[in-house]
Amino acid sequence: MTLNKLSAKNAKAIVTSFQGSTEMVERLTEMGLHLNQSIEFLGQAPLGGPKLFKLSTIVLALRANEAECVQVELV
Amino acid sequence: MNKKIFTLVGSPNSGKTTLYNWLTGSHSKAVNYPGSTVEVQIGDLKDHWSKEAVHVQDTPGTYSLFPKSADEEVALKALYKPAVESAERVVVVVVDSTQLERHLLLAMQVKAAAFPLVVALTMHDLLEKNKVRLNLRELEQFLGCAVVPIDGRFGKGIPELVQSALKAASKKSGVPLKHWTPEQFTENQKLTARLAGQTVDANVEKVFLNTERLDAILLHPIFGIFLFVAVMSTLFISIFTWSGPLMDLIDSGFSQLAEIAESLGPGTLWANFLSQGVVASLGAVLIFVPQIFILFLGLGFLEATGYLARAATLIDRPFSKLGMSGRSFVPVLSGFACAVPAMMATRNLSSARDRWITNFILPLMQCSARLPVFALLLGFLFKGEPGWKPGLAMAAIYFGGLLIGAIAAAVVHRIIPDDKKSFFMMELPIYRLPRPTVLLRQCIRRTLAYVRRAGPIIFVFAVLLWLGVTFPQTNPETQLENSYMGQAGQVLEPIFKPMGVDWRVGVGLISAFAAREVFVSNLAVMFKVTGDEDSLQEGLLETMKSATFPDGSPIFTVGSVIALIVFFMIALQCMSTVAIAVKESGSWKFAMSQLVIFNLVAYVLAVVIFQLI
Repeated sequence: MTLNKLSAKNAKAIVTSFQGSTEMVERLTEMGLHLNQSIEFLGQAPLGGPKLFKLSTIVLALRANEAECVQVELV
Repeated sequence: MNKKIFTLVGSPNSGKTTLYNWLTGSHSKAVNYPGSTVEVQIGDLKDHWSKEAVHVQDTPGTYSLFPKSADEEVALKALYKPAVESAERVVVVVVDSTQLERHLLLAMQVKAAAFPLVVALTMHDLLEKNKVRLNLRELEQFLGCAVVPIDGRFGKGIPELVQSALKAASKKSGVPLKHWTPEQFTENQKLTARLAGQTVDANVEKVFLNTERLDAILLHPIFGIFLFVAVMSTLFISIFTWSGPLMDLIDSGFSQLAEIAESLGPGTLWANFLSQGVVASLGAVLIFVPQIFILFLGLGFLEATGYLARAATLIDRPFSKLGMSGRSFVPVLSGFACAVPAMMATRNLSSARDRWITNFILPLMQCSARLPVFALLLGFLFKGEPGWKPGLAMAAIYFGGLLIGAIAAAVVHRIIPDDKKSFFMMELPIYRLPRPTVLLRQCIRRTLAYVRRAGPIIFVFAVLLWLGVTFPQTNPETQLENSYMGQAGQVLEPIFKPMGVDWRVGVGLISAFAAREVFVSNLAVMFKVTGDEDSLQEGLLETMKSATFPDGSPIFTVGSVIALIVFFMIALQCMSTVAIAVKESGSWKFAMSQLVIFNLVAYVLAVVIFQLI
């Protein structure tokens, strides 16, 4: 499943692969996402806005199309 | 030059700007605007850190040496080619010690590009507070350079950092870095993860607990929106209420100065130039400084606490419907003070299209230069009526501008082709309380930078205007009509007539291109309002009431005044904005279309409104 599908608060998952444009994937990597990274869903910004994820010590706000570039597996 | 130069690079929120402030004090040459450091700044290392004279260069925040937005490109350029000549260079990579795993990647790239470097570890105090220990020795071995922890709040560690940087500086410069392949990224990330894993205790998570709790409230679906509206309203109310007394002070100070200048040689041309040309123009530049200062202070505070990133996240969805991004939020907000810093702040947007649309609509945000114009016109419409009426009308004008901006953005969003490069991806920094002195110093610097940038343009145009109304010299009674400005106004009168105003108001409208607020003082000149400065507005309102066309019909009616208000809301009457639009878009075509479209739409709407009422 993609990261965008995580919906339960505090659901935890592991990154398994990336898809999407090279630039998008590169920026996701630079922002701290990488293979086998564990990631936690914190919630969604109001008004159906970006989703908030916690990875180790960072909180990232990602748009739906950005979160769709990340394949994850629930843990 | 045989000075050394320190170039600071680091990710956004790494504490780079705080370090820069420590190194250079308040003396800095280039520009820095809220939201991000959008230009390279050059300062001199304070002499109490080192006897040696050293340049310090601050660059916009960047996540890597592979830029994805205009401000990151600026950072890269400054890294390879510093803004000033120097004999020896060293790169200071600023790394947040709570974000080692990611931030070390940037340090690795700088090292791979063969730059001489040192690493400054920020936020170290946070780790210490939570009893987390870093193995600095291991980090130094891995990176092959000095790694110095610093405390951004008290300046601890800075002397050591300066010594290490001086030692590391060399004549070498970096070589261009080949793009990392995805495999290389993964490989290097494993390395930094291993290092961070070994050096950072799991305890570090404790630091983030408070932030998570706060976010649960500040980004709550209902409270979040409520608090957002509350924070932004507070910011706006403070801009307008706190600045009032200061603006009055500047205003009366300059009018007294103008009187003194006039009295030096009553009736002479040079005294008139000194008082009306120089002093009054300077006043026109400085009158908005209090508002700009409070806006920068508010933005700086929100930025330093970490709330600004949340506000951008919150607004991303509605803004993306309009072809912009949550990252457009800071520019739009700054647009309410002045479009010039606002356009510069759009460099932080990754997508050229988002940036284009944001820059396009920014002049529709009702900037503070329009305030005195609206105050005068609303004063006319609501003369003698209770104060809440013009207040409400003013609020309607501001929301109206926002609404027109939204419509314009939505229209352009439909017209221009989609661009897949729009990223939002925002890192939400942990909440921190900013240090007042650092905040204040940064705010003063930003305000001065604004004055230096916008001031000369406004001043030059104001002086040109003075020349236009003063020459050719004729009979004082008919000076205005016969001046170059007056002649031009009369030639152009057929254009202004459909809006319901005469050539004198037309001259005011043209002169407003120097700076919109000049309209008010110019109207006073054109309608020969005399009297001391305190009662200028009263006198002007009286004169407006009795002003007529040659046929005896009044010029200022409800219809023509509302038409003028609408005209001022939309028209792009600002040379500084046009100049900055050319620079930021890199396209004359963009700036000229913006100029023509806005003024045409403003004119047509004003004519339609006047004819209808």
